[in-house]
Amino acid sequence: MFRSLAAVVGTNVRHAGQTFHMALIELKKTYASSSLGLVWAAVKPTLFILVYWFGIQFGIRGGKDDPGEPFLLWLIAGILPWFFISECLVQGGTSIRRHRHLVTKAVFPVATIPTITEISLFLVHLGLLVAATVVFAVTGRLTWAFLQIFYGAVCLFLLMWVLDLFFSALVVVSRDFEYFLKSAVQVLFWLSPILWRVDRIREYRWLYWIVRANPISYVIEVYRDAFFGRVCFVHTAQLACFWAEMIVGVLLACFVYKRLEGEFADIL
Amino acid sequence: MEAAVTVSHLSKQYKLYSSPLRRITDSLFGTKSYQEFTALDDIDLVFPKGEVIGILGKNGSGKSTLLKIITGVTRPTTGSVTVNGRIAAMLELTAGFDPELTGIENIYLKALSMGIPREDIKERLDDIISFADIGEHIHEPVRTYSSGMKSRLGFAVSVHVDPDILVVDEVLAVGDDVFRLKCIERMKQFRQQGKTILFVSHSLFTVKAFCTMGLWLKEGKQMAYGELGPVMRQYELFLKEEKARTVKVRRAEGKDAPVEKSDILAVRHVRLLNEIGEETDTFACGEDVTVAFEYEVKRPIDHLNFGITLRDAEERELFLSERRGQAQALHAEPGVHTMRITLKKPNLLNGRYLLSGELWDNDSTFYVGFCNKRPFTMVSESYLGSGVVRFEYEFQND
Repeated sequence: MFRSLAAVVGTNVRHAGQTFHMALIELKKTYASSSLGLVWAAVKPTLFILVYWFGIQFGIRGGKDDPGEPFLLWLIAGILPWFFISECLVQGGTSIRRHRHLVTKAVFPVATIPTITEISLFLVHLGLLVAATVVFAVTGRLTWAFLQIFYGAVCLFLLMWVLDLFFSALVVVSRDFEYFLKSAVQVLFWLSPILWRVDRIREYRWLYWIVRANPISYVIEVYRDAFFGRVCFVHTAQLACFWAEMIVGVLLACFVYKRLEGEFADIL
Repeated sequence: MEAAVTVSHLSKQYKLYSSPLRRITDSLFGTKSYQEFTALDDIDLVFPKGEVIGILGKNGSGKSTLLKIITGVTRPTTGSVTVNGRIAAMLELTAGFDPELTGIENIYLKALSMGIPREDIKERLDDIISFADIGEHIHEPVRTYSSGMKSRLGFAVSVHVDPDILVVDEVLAVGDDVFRLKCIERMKQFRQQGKTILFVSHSLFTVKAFCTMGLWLKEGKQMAYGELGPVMRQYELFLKEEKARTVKVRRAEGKDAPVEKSDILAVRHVRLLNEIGEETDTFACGEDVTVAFEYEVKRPIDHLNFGITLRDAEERELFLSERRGQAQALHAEPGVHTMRITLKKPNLLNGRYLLSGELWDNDSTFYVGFCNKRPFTMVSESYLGSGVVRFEYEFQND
């Protein structure tokens, strides 16, 4: 298991430069044929935020805000990592299958393919993050605690790297996993505290802990804490839980990936 | 002899699974629930440095699998491959191009995916662009390219990797003749630089013209390897035998599929006749020349047409008969028919002439020649002028 981890991470580190350039080209590719180009990367999230804000703030809550935390801002802080997660699940999960020519027609470090896709999406995420930071700065909410955002971004990147590596290998073997991922996106969206507060389900003890143990919830909470000036490191139980999951996850993902890697060229 | 690639006891079995999920459980728990398909069976050889090795074999004989293993795209089941030098694979020229990106961006993309650092590509960019030779299109998205342009760009990138060993898998089938020549020229340069080329092509002609050694694979087995000449002879013999076998089998099965031209139409007794019906190949100037033959139609043909061509001794065309119209339709129902074509009083001068004639069906899919440059001679006792054709002329002197 540790050997698989070393092999996968080693490949990624050795080809870091190539991976980054490929990620830039992939980003270009996504928006190449539209005249507005990268603007679309901002338009879609903005529309989603406005629609959710409208539907929930006015439709469901009748226009009331929680004290000190305007719903719109609270929503932006939480949904920001989610945009990255949802894109990553589908695009990252299918990345190796989509780049099959790199597997079957070229000698390419295949273990970097999920990373390439993730980096190109992460660059978009960073752009959105800057925009959100501007919004929060204008409303005068940023404190030193905002520096925790770097920690949050690292957690987010690592979480999705693990999931992408794991699923991209499985999707190569069977497209069932691709369809699973596509349906899982919706499920995970509602199971994670993006539109609703974790506190609301505090009475349902087991449910509460399951939601809190969800690594996606953890990343979202870290982002919210950073934006709203709270210290996230006080939630030690969650922190330990997240990192335990990451350690197990990264070992498992690398192990599964390495076991299947040799077959990629024969399957695709 | 220095080895470029050493292949030792190489076998490759593909795993055929009834369900993809089995593959996952197999990989994780080391169980075996698949059927095997042997693509390569105990290949054992050395590709020496500086040779151009043509790999021969029919579809599915394992050629591509061997190249994929040598380039490192896929792994052998047993045995090993040792590669001595930098290897560049041209398994598919246009693989990896993104249709939305421009030619230049795709050069970077493809080169990056071949593991060339960005700085090196920048250096070679001008060379690549000038070799691809597609003009201003290089700034347009690749989706607007013709398939020939795409392959040119792909080839240009691949050969500028500067490899020690070049692996070329049936990539010259695309593109026009000029480009193909350019590619072959470039590969000859490689050869002169003492680099090794592994070459798969279904064009035996190209292989003969270009390769120094040959490897013949049949159903994953190494049938012959060595100097090109002997290997090529064995392979061609095998192809001929196999063709004869399929013809026999088809006939035995009474299949309707056309097997050979002679099963559809046979031409017999082609003769040249003079005015009094004697067979000859010498005619007096101004005498009718008749070509007569018998043909047997064995399967119905849609509109059988004919055409003749008359050439002089230096094979310049003097006359091609009308070939497009339906007016010259022959009897095409099954049975034996005779045919006579007469050149009426040809004004040909002394000398040797060549007559050719063909039959073909309505859409030109079926095509048979009934005589091919058949010589005949015109003689005259008196001097009629020199040249090829005699023109009647008058003169008036006031």
